[in-house]
Amino acid sequence: MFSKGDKGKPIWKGSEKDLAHCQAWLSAVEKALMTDETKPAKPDRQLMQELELAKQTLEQAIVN
Amino acid sequence: MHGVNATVSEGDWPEKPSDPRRLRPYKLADTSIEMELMIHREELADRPTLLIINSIDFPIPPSFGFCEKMWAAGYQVIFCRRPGFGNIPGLPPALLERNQVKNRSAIASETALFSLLINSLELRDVALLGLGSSNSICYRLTQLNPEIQFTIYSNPLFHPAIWDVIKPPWLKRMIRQTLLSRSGLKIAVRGLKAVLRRDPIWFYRQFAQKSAGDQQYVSRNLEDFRESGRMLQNITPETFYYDLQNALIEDTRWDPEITSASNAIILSGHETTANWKSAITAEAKRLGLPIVFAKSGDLFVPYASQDALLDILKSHAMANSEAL
Repeated sequence: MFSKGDKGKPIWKGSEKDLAHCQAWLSAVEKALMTDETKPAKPDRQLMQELELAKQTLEQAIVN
Repeated sequence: MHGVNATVSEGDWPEKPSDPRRLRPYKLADTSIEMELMIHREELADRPTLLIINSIDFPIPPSFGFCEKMWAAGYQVIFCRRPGFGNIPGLPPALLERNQVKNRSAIASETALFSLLINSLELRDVALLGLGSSNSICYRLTQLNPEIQFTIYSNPLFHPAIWDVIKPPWLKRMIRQTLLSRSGLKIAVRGLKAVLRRDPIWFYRQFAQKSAGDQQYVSRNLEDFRESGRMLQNITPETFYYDLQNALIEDTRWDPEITSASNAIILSGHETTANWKSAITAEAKRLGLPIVFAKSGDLFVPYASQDALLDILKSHAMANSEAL
């Protein structure tokens, strides 16, 4: 944490265990992004953006 | 009504068979993620759930008496300890970077996990109780998971008077220090852990000094507060930073369009400062949310004023269920 100017650079490197942890969280975020159109309540756009940013962060961490 | 997708994995966890409120690890469906849960009376029952998510200051389930009182009123208490606050790893490090805390992707990710938990357990008719710093999750979870019928935001930290009520002054300085620099964070967390290790009861009595109701709750549940001191030894500086920075700085302006359209209420206690009361009342008005001040309690107001909590549940959550 507290790293500056990390745009475009690897932000995290971890062990295989950490990688699996990251992938599991990505899966949870992806499930949350799949909204159920049949349900009356839908998440606000701001929350969906936050989740989308989380997805991108986790994907980047896994790739790196 | 309840699912079988959440599996208990006992693993190397210490057994406490004599404790009916013991937390157990649950593996979420189709993932390797475990979460720590206390299901009152251990088995999921076919009745509405009162789902409680812990604040940073007390990652321990409510007292047995509280859980039994809610049971008598028709609710099964499920307490979920947030990842990183006990025996389960916290958020992946990539999400604990400063940018990810600032753009709130970290808190959104944790919310996603709780939504998955509700779906995995196939909970229906959920009343959600947020405490202190966990209200940021509850605000999002209310939007994300349609099984939540009603939300109680207890002592939300989203208003300008928050710094006035953190007592004693040395704790306020310590918390501010965690948010200023990396070195400050590490020193402050180390200091806080040392205090909690040496004398957790003294710490909680200091922390809860404004409220006779909180003091009484501490006195009646000393072992829970000792356990809290032990659990908080496991929190990393990064998790500490994430939760406080999010709750006190980044997530302090909720959207009134969202809150006014939700079935929710704010709960606070009378045993606090006048400044806090006026600030939280103004914020409740801006958000279009009703607010209740219970007679007793402040930090632990739902536990100290159990009858007030039950009145809220009866008049809001159950009224909503009947209307559906």
